Amino acid sequence: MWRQFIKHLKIYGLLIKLNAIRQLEYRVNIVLGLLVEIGYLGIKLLYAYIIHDTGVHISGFAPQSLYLFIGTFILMTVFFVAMLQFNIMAFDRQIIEGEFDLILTKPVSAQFLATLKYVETWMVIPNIIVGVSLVSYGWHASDIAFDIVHVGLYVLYALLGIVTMYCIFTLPLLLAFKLHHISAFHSLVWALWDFNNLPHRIFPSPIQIIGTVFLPIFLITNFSPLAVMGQLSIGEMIWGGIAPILLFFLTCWGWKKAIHSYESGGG
Amino acid sequence: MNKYMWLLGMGLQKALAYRVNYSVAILAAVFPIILQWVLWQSIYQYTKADTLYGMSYSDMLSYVVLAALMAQALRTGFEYDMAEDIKSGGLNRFIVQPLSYFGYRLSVFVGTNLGYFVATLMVMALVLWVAIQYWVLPTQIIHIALFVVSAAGAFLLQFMLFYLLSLTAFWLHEVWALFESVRVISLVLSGGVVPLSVFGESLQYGFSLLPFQYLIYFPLQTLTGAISLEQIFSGLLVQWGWIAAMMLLITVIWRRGSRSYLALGG
Amino acid sequence: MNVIEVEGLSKTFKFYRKPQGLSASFKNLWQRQVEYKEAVKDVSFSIEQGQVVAFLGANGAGKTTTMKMLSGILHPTHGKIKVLGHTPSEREEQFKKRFSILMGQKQQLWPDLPAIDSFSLCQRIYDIPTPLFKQRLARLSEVLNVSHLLDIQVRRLSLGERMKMELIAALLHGPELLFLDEPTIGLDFLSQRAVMRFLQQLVREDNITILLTSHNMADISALCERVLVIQNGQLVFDDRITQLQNTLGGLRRIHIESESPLHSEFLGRYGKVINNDVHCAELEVGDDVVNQVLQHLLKDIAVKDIRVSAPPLEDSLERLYTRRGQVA
Repeated sequence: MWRQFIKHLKIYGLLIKLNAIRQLEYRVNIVLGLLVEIGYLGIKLLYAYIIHDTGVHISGFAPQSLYLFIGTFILMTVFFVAMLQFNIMAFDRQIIEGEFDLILTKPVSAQFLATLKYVETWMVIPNIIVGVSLVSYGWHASDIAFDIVHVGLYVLYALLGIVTMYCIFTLPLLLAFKLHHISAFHSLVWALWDFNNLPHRIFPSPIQIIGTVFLPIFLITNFSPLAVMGQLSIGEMIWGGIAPILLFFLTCWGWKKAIHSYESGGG
Repeated sequence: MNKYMWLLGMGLQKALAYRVNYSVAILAAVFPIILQWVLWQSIYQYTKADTLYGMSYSDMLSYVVLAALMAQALRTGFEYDMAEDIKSGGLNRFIVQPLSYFGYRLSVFVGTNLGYFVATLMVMALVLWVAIQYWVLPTQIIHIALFVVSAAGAFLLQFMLFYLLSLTAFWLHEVWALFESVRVISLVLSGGVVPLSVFGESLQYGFSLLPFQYLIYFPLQTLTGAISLEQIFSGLLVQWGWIAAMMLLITVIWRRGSRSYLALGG
Repeated sequence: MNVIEVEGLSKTFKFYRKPQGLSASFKNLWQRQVEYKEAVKDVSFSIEQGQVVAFLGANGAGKTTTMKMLSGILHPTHGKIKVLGHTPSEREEQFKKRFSILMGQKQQLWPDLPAIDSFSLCQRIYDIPTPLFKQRLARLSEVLNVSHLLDIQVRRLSLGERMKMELIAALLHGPELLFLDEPTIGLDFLSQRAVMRFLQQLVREDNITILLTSHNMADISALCERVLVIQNGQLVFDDRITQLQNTLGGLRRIHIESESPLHSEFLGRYGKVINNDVHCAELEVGDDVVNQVLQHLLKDIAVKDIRVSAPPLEDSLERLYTRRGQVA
C-alpha cells in the first residue's frame, strides 16, 4: 500500500515534468492560456472589488478576512486547473476513442492514469501570484499569527481540501462509463466550483449543511481560512478531517466497481 | 423542405440525443444565481442602502438572475467544429456542394440552441412574473416585445462573434485559448456577471463602444424598463448595426481565408 | 506449456438503435430500443510458448474483441480464459507486467515529447530497474536502428519510425506475450519489412509468444506458423498456414508462358482460367490432377516457362470467409 503510494507519487512527479516540457513546445498556447486564466481571475477579483467597494461585512467577516477566503479560493483554483480541469474535459473522449482500453492494461491504478494524466503548469502562474498575495494580505490584515501552528493548520486543511476537490470532481466522471458524452456535466462542475468564491457562511443554513455534509464542496476552500481564524468548532474540525478521507475511499470504491464492469466502447 | 430547415431539425435532434446533458446544463445555470443572490443580499443588508450602482435590491436581484439565464441561453460550441472543419479539410464538402457554409452553421446553431433558448426564455418569463409581482418591476408589454427583438439580435450577434472568431483557424493552429478568453471577457463586458454600472461611469462608457453589452446588458435593460423607449430604439439600431458590421467583416475575412485555404489545397 | 488457453469463449454486446427522424428522437427520450450482438461465439483454442499466431478475419468478425478479452480489457460473457496462468479480467498487476498490447491505430507515446521521455514514463509505470531499462533500450533501439532518433519529438518522426518507437515502448518491460493489433497498418513496404524482421528476431532470441492480427498477408506468411481464422464470431480455422490452402479443397495454380498464343477455351478444359494475356496465362486446378494437367499442357503447347504454386493466401481467405458466411 505504502509502496504503491510512493510509486504513484513518483509517476505523478514525472508527469508534471513531462507536461511542463510538452507545454513549452507551444509558447503561443501558454500565452493564450494565461489570457484565459487572467480572464477568470478577473471575475474572481470582481467579487473582491465589489466587497472592497461596498465595504460589506459578510457573516461578521471584515473585507480583509474576506480576501483570505478569496485568495484561498484562487489558490485552490490553481490545483483545480492544474490537476483536474483538462483531465475532466478529456475524460469522455478517452473512453470513446479507446485510449482507456490501453490504460487498463498498465500495471498502475487506472483511476490514477485516467484522472491525473494531464497537468497544466505554466498557465496557473498568475493565479499563484494573485492568490498568494491576497492570502498574505488577508492573513496580515486579519492579525493572524504567522507561526508553525497556524501555517500548519492552514496547509493541513488545504491538503484535505485538495483531496475533497479531487473526489467531488472525479466521482461524476464515472457517469461517462454509462452516458459516453458528459460535456454538460462540465458546466455543472464549473458552476459548483464557483460556489467557493465566497465564504460559505454567507449561504442560508440549509445550503451550508448540504454543502458541508452531503456534497462537501465547502470543505475545499473554506476550512483552511476558517481554521486559522479560529472560527471552526470542534465538530467542524473533526468533520473536516474525516470527510475527505471517507470521500476518498468512496471514490476509489466507485472507480473499482466501474472499472470492474467496464465494457470497451469499440467492438 | 428547405435544406436549411432540415439542418435546423438535425441540430435539434443532436441536442435531444443527449437528454441528460441538456437538463443538467439548465440546472447548472442555477448555481451562479444563488451565489449572486446571497452576495447582494448581504451587501444591501449591510450597507442599508436603497440603491447601489443605480439599482435597488430587487432590480439587482432580477438583473443577476436574468443575466445568468441569458448567458446560458447564448451558449455556443460550434466554433470548435468550425475550427476543425477548417483545419482538417471539412470545408471541401461545402465547396463542392450547393450549400453555403454560413447558412449551414447558422441553421445548425439555431437548431441546437433553439430548444435551449426557448426553455431558458420560459424560465426567464417565470422569473419576470415573480419580479413583477413581488418586486414591482416597471415592465410593460411593449418592453417584453422589444426584448424579444433585442434578444433575437443578441442571439445573432453572439453567433456572428464566434463565427468571426472561428475564422481565425484559417491562420492559427491552436484556437481554443482564443475562444475561451474571448468567452470569459465577453461574459464580463456584456454584463453577464454583474450589471455594467458596477464598473463606474468612465469604464461603462468605454464598454458602450464595444459590441458586447448588446448581448446581455442592453436586452435586459430593455426588459426591465430601466431605460427609456428612445434609448431602446437607438440601442436596437446600434445592435443591428453591429450585426451588419460583423456580417460584412465575416464576408471579407471568409473570402481572404478561403483563398488561402484553397491555395494550400485544403 | 500453454501461454493462452481459451475455452468456450463468448461475448455479447448490448447497443441502442436510433431510427431516422425527429419524431424518433423524441421517442428516444423515454424509450430506447435495446439490441444484442454476439461478437464472439463459443471460441476455444490454446497457444504454446514461443508460438507466433496470426489472427485473421474480416472487419467486425470478432478479432479485436477476442484480443481485448485476452488482455483483460473486456469481460467475457461466457467461457474460460487463462493467459500466463492468470484470469485476464481480474487485471492483476503481476499479469499486466508480463504482457504487452500494441494497437496500430492507437498511439501510446506522447506526440509532443521525444520518445525517450515517454520511455521513462514506461520505466516508472512498469517498475523497470534503471540498469535493465538502459540495457533493453540500447538493445531495442539498436536492432530497430532508431538510436539517433530517441531525442526527437515523436510527431516529427515518420510513421514507420513512430511504430518502431511504439514497439520499443511495448517491449521495455520484457513481456513474455505480445498482442499486436494491425502493427503495420499505414506503413510503407520497407518499414513493414523492418518491423517484421525485428519481430522474427525477437521470437528467435527471446522465445516470446505473439498473437497478431493483420490484413497484410505478407506479414503473416513471413512471421506466423499458425493461423486462427474467425468469421462472424466463430473460429472457423485453426491450423498451420500451409494447411489453409489444403483445407479449402487443395488447389494449385499453374502459370504458363508460351511461344504460341494461348486460348482460354482450350485451357478451360483442364481447370479454371484465372487470367490469360495470350502468351501468359494462369490456371487453377485441383492438386490431385496437377501432374496429369502438366503432362497434357507440355505436350500440347510450346511452353517457354511453367510453374506450379499455391493460390495466394488472400484468395484462400476470401473463399474461407464467403464459404463460412453462407453456412452461418
